[in-house]
Amino acid sequence: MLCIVVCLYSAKLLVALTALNIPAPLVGLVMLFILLHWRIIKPQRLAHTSQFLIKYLPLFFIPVGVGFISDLNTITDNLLLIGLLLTLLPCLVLILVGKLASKGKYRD
Amino acid sequence: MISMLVCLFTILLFIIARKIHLTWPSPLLNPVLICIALISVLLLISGGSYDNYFQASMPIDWFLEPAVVALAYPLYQQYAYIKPVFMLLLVCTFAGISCSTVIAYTLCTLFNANDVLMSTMMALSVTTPITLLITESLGGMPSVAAAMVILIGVFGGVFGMHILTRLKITQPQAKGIALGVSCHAIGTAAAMEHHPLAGAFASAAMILSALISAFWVPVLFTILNHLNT
Repeated sequence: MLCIVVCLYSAKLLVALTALNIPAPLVGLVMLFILLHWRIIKPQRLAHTSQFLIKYLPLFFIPVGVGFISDLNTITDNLLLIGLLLTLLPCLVLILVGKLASKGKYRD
Repeated sequence: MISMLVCLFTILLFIIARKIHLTWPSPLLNPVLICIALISVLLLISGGSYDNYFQASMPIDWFLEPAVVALAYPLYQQYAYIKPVFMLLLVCTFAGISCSTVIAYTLCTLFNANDVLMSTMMALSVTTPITLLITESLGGMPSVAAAMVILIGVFGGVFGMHILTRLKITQPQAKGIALGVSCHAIGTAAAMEHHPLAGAFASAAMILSALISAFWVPVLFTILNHLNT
């Protein structure tokens, strides 16, 4: 957990210092990946904590997720647009990426 | 004290919803969807304010950021899968994200959506925690974007495999990439169920698209805004 928190807060510091327009947790993700890849941190040390955090990841965004009730008016005013986006986006992205990815050669 | 109760209630609800989902693994019974819906209904019926709920559930919210950092671990584990097809994965995620953002932008323009609503719809082809972060940085409504992403995931979980089969896409790896980019975590779960290779590629594509979205969506949004004016 310590490695993860240290990565997160150094990323926050970096983002604050450089005024980057990238969310700090993602910068932290990249930092942690590099640390793992260069074997500066032993992967075994992280296995337990990260598996726990990822298993419960959906729980952690429930507090923000409930926030849509503050914007209910915007949602009901734009139901058609929202409905279209909800169906068109996954369909078109699936078709495009599916077609592109099927051009690849994979080893079985 | 109240904060502790609210947190406990949220955690308990999530654990129960997870158990239900493990018993009946349908994408429609997505645990987060159930929890958000139930808590929202409870708040709306009781007249409780969302701000109070959020204040009380802050301790849970705190874990979101470390959990995003922790995604480095599965990415590290899947690196062996990704490496030989890295360029292809990069092209696929890049194309998928751009397609999603451009279509959302076009539709929002056609519907005369205001700036806040438009910013909300820019990063929908990415996993929920990342949507929250990007949407916030763009000045949109993070929670609405999160709900949209979950619903898109549910759609993909229900129809994704049928669509890919109709397109006559047979390689499990390609199906995985498509589901991971378009339908995130729920799509990845569907891919996992279909074939372990599809699952591995979906998970890799999902995390890669999280990284690319964070860098690319704000830039693409600025470009589209410039073209539009």
